[in-house]
Amino acid sequence: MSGGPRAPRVVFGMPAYNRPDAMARTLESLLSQTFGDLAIVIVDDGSSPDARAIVESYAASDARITYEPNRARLGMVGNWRLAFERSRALYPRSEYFAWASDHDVWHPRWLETLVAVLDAAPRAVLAYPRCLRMYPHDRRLIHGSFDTAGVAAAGPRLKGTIVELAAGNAIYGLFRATALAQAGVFRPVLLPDRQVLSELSLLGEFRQVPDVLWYREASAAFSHRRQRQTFFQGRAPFHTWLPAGLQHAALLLWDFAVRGRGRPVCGRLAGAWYAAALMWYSSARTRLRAAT
Amino acid sequence: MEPREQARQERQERKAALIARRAEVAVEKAREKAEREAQERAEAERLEAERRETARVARVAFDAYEQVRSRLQWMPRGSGAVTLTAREEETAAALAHLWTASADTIAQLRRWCEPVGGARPVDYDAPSPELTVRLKRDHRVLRRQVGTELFVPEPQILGAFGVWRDGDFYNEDTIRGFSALVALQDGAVLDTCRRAPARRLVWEIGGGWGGFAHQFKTICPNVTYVITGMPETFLLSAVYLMTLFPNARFRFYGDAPADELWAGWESTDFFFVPEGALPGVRLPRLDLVLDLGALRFMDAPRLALHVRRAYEWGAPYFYSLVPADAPAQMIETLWGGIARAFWPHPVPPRGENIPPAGDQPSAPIPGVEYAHLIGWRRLRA
Repeated sequence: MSGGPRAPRVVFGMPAYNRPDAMARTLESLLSQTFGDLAIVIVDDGSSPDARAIVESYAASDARITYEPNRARLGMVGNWRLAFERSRALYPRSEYFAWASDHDVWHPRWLETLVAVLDAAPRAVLAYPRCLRMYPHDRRLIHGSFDTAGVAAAGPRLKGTIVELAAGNAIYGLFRATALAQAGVFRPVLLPDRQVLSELSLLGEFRQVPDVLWYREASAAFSHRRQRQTFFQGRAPFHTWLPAGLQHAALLLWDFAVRGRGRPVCGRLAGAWYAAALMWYSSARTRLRAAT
Repeated sequence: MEPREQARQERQERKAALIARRAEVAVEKAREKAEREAQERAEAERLEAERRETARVARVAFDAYEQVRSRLQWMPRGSGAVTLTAREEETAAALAHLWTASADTIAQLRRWCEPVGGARPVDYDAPSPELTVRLKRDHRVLRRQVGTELFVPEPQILGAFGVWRDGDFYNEDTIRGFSALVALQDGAVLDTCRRAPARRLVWEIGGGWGGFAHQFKTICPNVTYVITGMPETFLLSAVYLMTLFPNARFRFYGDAPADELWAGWESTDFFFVPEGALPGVRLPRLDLVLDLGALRFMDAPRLALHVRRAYEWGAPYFYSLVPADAPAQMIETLWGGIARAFWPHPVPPRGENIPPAGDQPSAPIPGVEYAHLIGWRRLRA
């Protein structure tokens, strides 16, 4: 383990999986950040020689890149978790963490803007920008916003996170690393991004900046079936056939009520209460989505 | 009282009331007349003040013109050693008369801007319903979506033309500039010039007649704005900008030896450099490149030269605008040229009823007049 004298303030953890076509563009967008006090930890879950060659060519000229191919495939959830764990192991004193995909694009001002937000708001645990979606021939702004700045009570933050937040965008925001570790990172459940963001919402505020600073590649349509196929190595765990809200509520109950991991911000009793609330809000969200 | 006496008294009272009423009417009429005369005087004074102001601005503009012309005289016409395209030759020819312009010509400077891509003044003498509806729609949509912060109306000087709507005066050029500023904001680039504490340096290729430079400098005052292009176009842009920013500091290529030109650049507001001098110029820094449509008329070697210079001078962003209905091949050539040194990021269209994107290139979207690209500097070019 290192992280001694040179501890970058920000670490990007990139769970990579075979996107040589987009890797150079993505890496350059990260390396071109106007806030340069960063490191990039790439954990590769089965890359092609092409992708590896691209990464190594950049790593050869930029010491901020660390590249670690996995010995065995972990699946998406496992690889995301490993990206965070390796980032923390290599740079335990870094303040902020962000996941980076191997195909999306980060505006050069992304880090400069979001670091300023988290620096200025100690109660904030996540900052993220507005984003646009990249289609093969077009781009579209993604409308809608979600922000819990100034919301002191954890309950409303949790409710908003479950009912209103676009988790797939927010999960690529900039996290306060200690808070993210406290919330637990990418568990083997469906909608793992929503799960971690729900627990994180109990620990602090989410701040969204109005600038469009993250460009997200359009992906295949969301489905639970697809998540079961791609998120796990081998067969998906049995509990992933249960409602996602139930999986998340059970984890919250375990993390905060049983293990007391939310303390001192969120006590055990409150954890149990929020687990019940999470279950309720999740079913409300499901009903709302079905109605619309 | 006797009936006769009573009747006489009543008559006298009626008469007195009548006299009083007549006096009131006379006073009212006198007051109205005085008011009318005051209004007429005020209107005459306003018109006189306007006339004097117009004459003053025209004098300022002509002084600026004479100064600009004398500083451009030594520059070769056209683009010097650079080979102009047929369209640019036409532009240069259409502006040639400005080398010997009269004060009256300069007083109507805005009406001579059409050859450099400006709106046609004749279209605004009696605007067609189609033009009015289109302008109003574009103006309304952008104002509704992004507010008025980035809107800079057409200055009413030097023969300005346009339409009045919702208290704003504008024409197609104004809307094009507005849409470019909105695209720069959507691309999260504008704030690098607008909110940065340190002075920024921006390069506009071509510069047109100076309309966008005026809008940009109004929104981002703390920038030094470099315009490169044909000297003929500087007769429009430099004169226009000197008139609008009388306290700004202007420098022209040739004002000082090449290696001293940029000394103290932070205290200069506008630089004008002929395109032919590009290979020998070395900018002290560069924060943003702007192309409001000049590049698309250049041939491949000149496009490549501009992109290369932008890269060599360290530009982090390269903005380019083209009409949305421009031929696909033209857009491909232009954006492909920029993409050699800058990662190309088209800015999503703004408008009403924007259709969802599909797997195939979409047809031009009704109501979307321009396509915008922002290039991000590549690490390896």
